[in-house]
Amino acid sequence: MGNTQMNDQCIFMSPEAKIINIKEELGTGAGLRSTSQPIRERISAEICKGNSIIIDLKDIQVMNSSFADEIFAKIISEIGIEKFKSKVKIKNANDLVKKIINFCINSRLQAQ
Amino acid sequence: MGTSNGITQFINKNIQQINPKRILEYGNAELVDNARVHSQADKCFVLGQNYKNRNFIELCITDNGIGIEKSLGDSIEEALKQGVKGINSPGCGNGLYTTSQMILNSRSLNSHLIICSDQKYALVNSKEYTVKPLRNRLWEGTIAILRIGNDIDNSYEQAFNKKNGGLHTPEYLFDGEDDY
Repeated sequence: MGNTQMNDQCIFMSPEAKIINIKEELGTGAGLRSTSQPIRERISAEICKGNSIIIDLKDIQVMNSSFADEIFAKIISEIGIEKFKSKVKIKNANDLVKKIINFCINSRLQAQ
Repeated sequence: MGTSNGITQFINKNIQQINPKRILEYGNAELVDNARVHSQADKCFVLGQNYKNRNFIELCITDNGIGIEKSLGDSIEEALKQGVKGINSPGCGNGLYTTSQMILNSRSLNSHLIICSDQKYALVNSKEYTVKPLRNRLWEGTIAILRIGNDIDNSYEQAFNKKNGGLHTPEYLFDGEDDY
């Protein structure tokens, strides 16, 4: 399972790439911090093992800041943006969700 | 009265327009998260009502906790600012700020956010943001009322890329690609 795709950033997905479908995990709601913590822990664990991850945000219309902070910003603040981008692929994020994610990453990095 | 997930189902059942639905889902999650994480309450109530003839939906999230001043260590005015977070908070202090900005940025005449805590209440709508004294307060915790009208547009997205103090949110991810 997974695609192999080479581009200028040399981002590729290994055959062992884990897929986390947020809608299947939590429903289409914006998510709470308490429900996002187990997902963050899974993502962190997979990255520590050297695995790649696909986070599928299909049908997620909106994401609250606590959820985005927990899933994306906290991990990026720990391992850095480049390592995150080399290990994690985000699929099917709509424009609003992308804005929220970037906003939360910026907030956490600014606060460091 | 219901759970946060129950309110999400209520929103999905009663609203078809994408903009009100998004803001209500977002605000519901932010306000419930605040009550869970910061209030130290043993009870949190979530209520929703669809005022069909008046073209808005209203959510009320209330807790019997310690109030904003004690949990934040600061005033309700500070709580609505960007990056102001509670003592020992795991977050970045953006929930109330972004929720209030969504309404402030809109052109809706039928939407507002009211936060009642301690001896004050904050009122945010598309025209103003004010904080006033709360007389005869009978409830010890925090009450948040989120009213979203069907007339709300998608200007709420500016809450996440608005220039603020000279800072503009950079594109850390996505880089203009649909996925990456």
